[in-house]
Amino acid sequence: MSRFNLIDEKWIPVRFPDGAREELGIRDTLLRSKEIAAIEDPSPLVVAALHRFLLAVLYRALEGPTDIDQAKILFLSGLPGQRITAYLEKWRERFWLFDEKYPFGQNPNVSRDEIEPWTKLTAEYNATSNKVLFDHTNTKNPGAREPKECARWLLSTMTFSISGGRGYYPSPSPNAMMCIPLGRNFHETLCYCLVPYPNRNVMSGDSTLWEREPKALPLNTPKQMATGYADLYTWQSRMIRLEEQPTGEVSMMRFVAGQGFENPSSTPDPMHPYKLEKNKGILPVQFRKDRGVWRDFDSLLPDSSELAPITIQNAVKLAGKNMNYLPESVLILGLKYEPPNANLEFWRMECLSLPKALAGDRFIRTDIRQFLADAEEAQKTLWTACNSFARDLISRGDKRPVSKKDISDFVEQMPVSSVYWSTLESCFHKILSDYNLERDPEDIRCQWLKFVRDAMRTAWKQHTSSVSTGDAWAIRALVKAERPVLRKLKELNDEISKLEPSKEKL
Amino acid sequence: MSGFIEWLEGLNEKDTKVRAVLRRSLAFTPGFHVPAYPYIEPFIKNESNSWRREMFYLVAGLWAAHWREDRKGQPESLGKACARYQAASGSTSTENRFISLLDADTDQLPHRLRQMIALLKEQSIDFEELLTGLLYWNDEQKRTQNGWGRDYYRNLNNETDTVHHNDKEISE
Repeated sequence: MSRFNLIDEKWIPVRFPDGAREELGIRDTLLRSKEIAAIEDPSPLVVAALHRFLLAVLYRALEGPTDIDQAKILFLSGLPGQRITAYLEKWRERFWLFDEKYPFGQNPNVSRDEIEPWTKLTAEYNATSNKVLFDHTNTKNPGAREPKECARWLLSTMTFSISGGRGYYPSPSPNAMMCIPLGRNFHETLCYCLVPYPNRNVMSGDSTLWEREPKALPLNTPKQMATGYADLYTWQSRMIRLEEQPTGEVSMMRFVAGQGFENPSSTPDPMHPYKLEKNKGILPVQFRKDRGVWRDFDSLLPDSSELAPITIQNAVKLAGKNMNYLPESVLILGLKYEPPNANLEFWRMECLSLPKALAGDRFIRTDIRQFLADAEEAQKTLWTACNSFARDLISRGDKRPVSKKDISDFVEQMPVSSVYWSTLESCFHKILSDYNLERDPEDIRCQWLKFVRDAMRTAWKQHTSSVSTGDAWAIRALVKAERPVLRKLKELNDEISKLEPSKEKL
Repeated sequence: MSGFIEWLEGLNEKDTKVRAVLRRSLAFTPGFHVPAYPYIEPFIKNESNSWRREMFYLVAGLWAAHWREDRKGQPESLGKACARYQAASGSTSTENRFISLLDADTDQLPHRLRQMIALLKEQSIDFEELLTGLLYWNDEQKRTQNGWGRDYYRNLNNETDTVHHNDKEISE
């Protein structure tokens, strides 16, 4: 019997402006989007997947937008409730989570032999082939979970499946950052992300997972290209069949490899920022283990290269010159893994404020890129100093042989870089929030260089004081190492003083 | 402590024996050579800290051993003088001596310092600064050792200009 229809059941966790939290069905989430502040779930992967899923519904229900004018109308006058309701009613039978023929997002043809515990749907819990630190769920006896949780995880699994052996293809670029500009309410957020189709043909060729018949297994064509945004956002990278227990909960499921994704770079994902890499071409920007997202912030800002996430480009277009319509911040979510290793390193969600100057004609991406380059350059100097320190300390004045690995291991455990970056991070956010159209760019750069100089000084000073109590070799290594730091500090001071007098003249 | 070297210079002008007695005191544990008492005690009469007392005796002995009538040039810190000596002599062992001086504990210090000062006979040394440094030798932050180390290594190369300009930078 069909059960748990996602259109009406409460399964999408939302937060209202007054802080109240509730779970809603698809229809209510879309129709009440102006009342809702945001989608919130403990898992960043679920948050991203729910946004993509709801966008897919909208693309199909609205059959558009196909140009920026349509998108602006939706943004200003709201989503057409009737069309959404009509679409959902048309496909109502495909939104049952448990159904003999069309279980939502699943494939009824998965063999009974391919049984896995529900934990395989999530990144946070142990799976049979993948253990998670601090999780003690027993995969042989995993307990049961509610349908609403499984529905959320089903979507996150399809969006964030990673590669693995046995024909397990990854989702469309699961390793890339996903950027969701946040509006004053969920309606604005949806509109920012509802980027217009390139043209009507693409729109008419698009479809979603639930609009197609479940595929026969094994698949005839292991890899395919996406037909449009809705197809991309509901990519079936795993074939799953949830097994409903008599209690209505889920303990086990059938789980096999799904549809491979062909050539992701030819169709840019609207949520990904891209970068141009030498020899490799245009690639999505990914999370890095030792690096906060803010250090790649320039890649989020629109410029003529059009490598910024299309969602943010779209948000800026929708807002036009009206600063009130600009997104105040952007959610950046995703995970990190090193293919071909099939284990996740981490998943992450960050929220960064967007500078108000985005509303102007000035391409602030260039400025921000310069700021970040300044910071990287200063860090390089610190790294050189740390390297020199490590080499001199370990070698005891060239008395002992020292390998490159010894040096890099030593440098890695030195806190200099992490102190530097963490000090600078809060300064960067301050710069972003101060960066409005009235500010003189030179003034901002001067302020930023001061931040860089101070962060560098703080980081090195902390290192100095931790080392100065060491033996004479440590003192020797320290004094020898700090030369480039002093030189760089002088350089920064010179640059700052060049920028300051011009301000005084004004 | 300020003016101690001036005080010794004053004594030296009046009494030719002073330097000989103080030089001789270096053969003993600092503060244990009785004939040196009349020259040092009047200056440090209120000092009860034994380490500080010993350092006055030690520096007095080192000053006497190093004294030369025709010495010219601006007195320099010990680190700088060592760097200058190394540059002039090209000796490769100076750095090791300097390092072992910086690492000296309170027992080893007088001996290693004596050797170092003997080596630096051509250099003009700021004994007042040396005394100040020694008084803080046991400081937990090793300020003296760090200061001497900086003086030494920064003066070994030709980056004095940059270094001077930025000396305050890190401590600011």
